[in-house]
Amino acid sequence: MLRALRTAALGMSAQQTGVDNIAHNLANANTTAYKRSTVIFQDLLYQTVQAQGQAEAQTAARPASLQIGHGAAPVATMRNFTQGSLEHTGNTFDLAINGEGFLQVRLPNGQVAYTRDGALTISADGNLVSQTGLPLEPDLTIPPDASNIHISQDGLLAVRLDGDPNLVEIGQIELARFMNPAGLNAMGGNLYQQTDASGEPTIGTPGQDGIGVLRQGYIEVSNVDVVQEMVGLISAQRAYEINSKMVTTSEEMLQIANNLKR
Amino acid sequence: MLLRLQNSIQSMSSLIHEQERVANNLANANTIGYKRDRTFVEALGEHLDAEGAPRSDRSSTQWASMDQGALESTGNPLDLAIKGEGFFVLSSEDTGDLRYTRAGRFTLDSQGLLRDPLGFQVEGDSGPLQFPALVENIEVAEDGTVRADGNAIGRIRLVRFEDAMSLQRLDNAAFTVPGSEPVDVEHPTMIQGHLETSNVNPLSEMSEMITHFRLFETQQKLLQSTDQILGSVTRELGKF
Repeated sequence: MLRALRTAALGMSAQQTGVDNIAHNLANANTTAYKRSTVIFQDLLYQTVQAQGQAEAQTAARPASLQIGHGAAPVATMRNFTQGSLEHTGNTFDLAINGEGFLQVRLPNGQVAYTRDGALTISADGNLVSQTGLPLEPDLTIPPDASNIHISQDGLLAVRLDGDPNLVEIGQIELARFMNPAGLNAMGGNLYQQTDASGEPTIGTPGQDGIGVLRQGYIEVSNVDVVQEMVGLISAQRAYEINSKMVTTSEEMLQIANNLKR
Repeated sequence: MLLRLQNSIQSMSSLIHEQERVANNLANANTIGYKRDRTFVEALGEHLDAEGAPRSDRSSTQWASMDQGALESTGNPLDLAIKGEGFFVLSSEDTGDLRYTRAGRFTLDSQGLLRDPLGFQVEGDSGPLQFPALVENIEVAEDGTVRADGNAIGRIRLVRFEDAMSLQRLDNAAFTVPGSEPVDVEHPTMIQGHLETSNVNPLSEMSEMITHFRLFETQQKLLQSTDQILGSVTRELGKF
């Protein structure tokens, strides 16, 4: 009897995790380049039991005549890296990636992190940095007298230097691509870290091998679909509710069994 | 004398298991590819016991209801839903064990192998499916043919079992089939970008839950009245 109680409680806690995840997605419905995640549920291990009064002959023919499960649990969250739509901002240093690649930024500890958030800015010493001040990898420095900053679809950074009528190429933005982006570890702050599951990054210039092209003056908006999340929320809430009914029913059955002895 | 209590005790014990089964179905109402667990209980060998009371043994047969679950659109190219019969074949590279599932939520690993969330490989007609590096466009045709950037790289294998009753449950909506060989499905149909949701119907599970609850209550009352009768027998007949 206590097994039904625990099974239903696990069902409730699984749905709770689902709601937590939906809340996180909804909270990030307007976060630049946020990628929605989905919780994957699994049913848990089954135990083979024999109810009292089972006929022995039947048992022999079917070794597992009664398998009882132990509920559900979240097994993984899977991040959905589908392209978010591009929004025009007109800012010189806003870069949206149209394709599979990631920009690389250098963390204070020297490690490289990956991001799809291309809302960049310039630091005091002229380096291209993310909004949180992390420099791009490899470094790109804009000369102080540069104007008409132009970033092409394939990542070439060209500027007009003081007095020169022609554009001068001063750098190349590189993108990284992963075999399994869903395996990346989300660090928060729109940053991802490579893991064994994601594999090693393949570095390339934009426009190559489906790594994606850059769009200057655009940012990629969150790929959260609010309608889809709301439907998920309703479904999770109802599942939570029916599992809670199971808890009360099991509890009452336990009480009935206790009342056998008056 | 206590034999008279046996029918109720057995019935209550099996109702508890039934309720545990319903609890598991309800807990998995949102588990992708989950198949609702059903049982069929029949009375065997009805007879009168030594005291002339009717007795029977119960045999419960359990199976997974293979009714099609509703398809949910996800837009993820590696989400596959099976329409009609069949199971995906998953293999463990460590043990070589095979497991069968209808939960088609797959992903590529760092080496380009197609895997399920627990890390099992997805089997094609000729071994695990291996994608080339930096694949851009993945297409899975209805018959399971997989194309990576337009080049066919294999066909996802779907199998079925002659004896559907011999399926045994593992975790993650997967089954194992001891002692039965899978047969390839002749006309597999799978739909890319969709997942098959759990086929648990909360309405019927709730009504089953209430039925089990009330039957449990009835058996308790029966036990109590039998107990009362036995009690008055000892009290009243004992007076002389």
